[in-house]
Amino acid sequence: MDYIIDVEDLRKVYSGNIEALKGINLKIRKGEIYGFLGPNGAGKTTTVKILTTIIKPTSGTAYISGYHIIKNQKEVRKIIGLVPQDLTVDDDLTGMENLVLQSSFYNIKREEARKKAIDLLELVDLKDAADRLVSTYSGGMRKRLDLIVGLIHDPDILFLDEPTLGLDVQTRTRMWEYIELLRKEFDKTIFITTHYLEEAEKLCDRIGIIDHGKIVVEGSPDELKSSVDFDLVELDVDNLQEAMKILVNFDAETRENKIIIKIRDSEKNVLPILKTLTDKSINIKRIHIEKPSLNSVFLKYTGREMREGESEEDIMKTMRAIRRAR
Amino acid sequence: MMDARLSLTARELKKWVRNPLQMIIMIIQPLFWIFLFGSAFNITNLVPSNLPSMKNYILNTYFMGAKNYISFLTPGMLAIMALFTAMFSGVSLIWDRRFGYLTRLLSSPIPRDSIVFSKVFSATVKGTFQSTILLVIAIVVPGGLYLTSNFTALNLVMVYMTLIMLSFGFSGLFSLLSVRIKTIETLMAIVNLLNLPLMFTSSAMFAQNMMPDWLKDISSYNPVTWAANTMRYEMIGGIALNSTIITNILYLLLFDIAVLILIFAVSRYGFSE
Repeated sequence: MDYIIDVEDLRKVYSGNIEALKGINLKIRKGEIYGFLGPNGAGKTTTVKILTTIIKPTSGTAYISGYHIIKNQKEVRKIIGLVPQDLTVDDDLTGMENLVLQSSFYNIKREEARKKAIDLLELVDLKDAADRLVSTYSGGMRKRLDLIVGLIHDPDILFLDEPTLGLDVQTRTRMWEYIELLRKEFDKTIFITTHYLEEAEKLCDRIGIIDHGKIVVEGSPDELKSSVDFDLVELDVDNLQEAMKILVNFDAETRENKIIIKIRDSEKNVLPILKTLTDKSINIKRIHIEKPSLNSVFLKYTGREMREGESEEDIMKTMRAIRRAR
Repeated sequence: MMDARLSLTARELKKWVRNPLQMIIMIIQPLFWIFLFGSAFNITNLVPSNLPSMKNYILNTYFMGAKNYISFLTPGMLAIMALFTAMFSGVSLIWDRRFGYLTRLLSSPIPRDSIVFSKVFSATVKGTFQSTILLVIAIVVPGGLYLTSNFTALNLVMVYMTLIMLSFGFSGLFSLLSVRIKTIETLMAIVNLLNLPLMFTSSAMFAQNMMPDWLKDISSYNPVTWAANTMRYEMIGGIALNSTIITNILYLLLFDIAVLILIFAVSRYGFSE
């Protein structure tokens, strides 16, 4: 058994003929941090739910540490840890109680569970809040507790479904530190889903870019970026149609009232373009150059952009989750 | 080592105890029931006060010789309270699904039935607790429940056994609904559809020999009737065991076993994510 996660041609069709997964293949080695990067609705959470035995695939097979996800469900559940997308800690219990409750699912003795819980609480700086009700925690504290609840039974593989969704920048950076710490200290295999480019780039050894239920490209962040041989030049001009006519010989398109041009060696090659445009009396208001990034990787393989940053929707979603919990 | 069934039940009970308002309401509610229903449905009030023998006739013929209507009503109300508490046992499962807690449970190596059983056990404890309050209040208030002078510890044990069996059966049935149902609204609609019919087709408020034949037939199949009649024998009649009691307990037992089997089967094969 070479791979700790071995997935072959996984498909999932939800009722109403919605094809969430269209044949996912994955081979993940022990100790790797693997990231599923893709926009909302790409099939990331569905994959996690199948691999964590919550739902069954329509077809295809998957093995976790050699255990079949349907035939050896119970064995799979013992060795995986899941931190779901929603905040799933119980508000009416204290942090400690949440951890001890979770450990009872794995037949861990109470004393041992408490000891482990204290270590983990210390790891994520929640020790002082251990005996407070979770309803008094902030969003970031809940997420940290959520993370260690998924770790209480010392799983071989940890699934993190959008671990920093909707968190503020500061909290997100801290979560990243904790996740990196896990890898360093415990040598865990971690499967992360995210739609934040920066997160995937910072944390993952290998990234699979997923779109519309299929992995479009896979590789280390550096490999992926070097596969892109162009820079993205974004121009904000006052006469869009006219400018596009002039740029007809370039790989240019318009998006959100801006022109996006793909060129090599932009430092050198962008100047003639600008000159041509200004010569034809096109007023350039703003220019932005993006060197190869996961965003351009995404653009290259899907034909769409995947913009970094917090969407309004994410923040709303987290706010709702916290409100609901209260 | 703690079984997930127990630790999850403990979770439910902790949440319950930590919600003081819920506790207060649960304590007040029985008062309403006894005094509202006790007055509203007390047909002995229809008898003119200058005809005491008529009143006794009604009490003896229809109310098993109870000293007053509340004494007859209380065992029925105990059964109804068990039913109504049980009906909401599934609500917390739906919340768990909404909050995503269920996701966590479903990815853990626990038996699926432990998720349902924790709701059933905790609802049974809650129901029994509330019944105890109702019982105490009914006894304490003047003009309330008059227990038979033959009432013994054995009768009390039988009363509790009946209540627990009834609570367990209905909690199981209603918790099972939320294994499949995903919204509170749907669950509430079902609860509302069933609660009053179950109450009025039982002997909780009226004796079966007061009912028209068709209703009497229906009420004989209602677990609330089995429990209410049994508890009346214990509390008013002072009889621990007779053939009717044994039959009723047997029915309740079969009801519980059927629910138990359903829980194992449905939670194993049909858990909605």
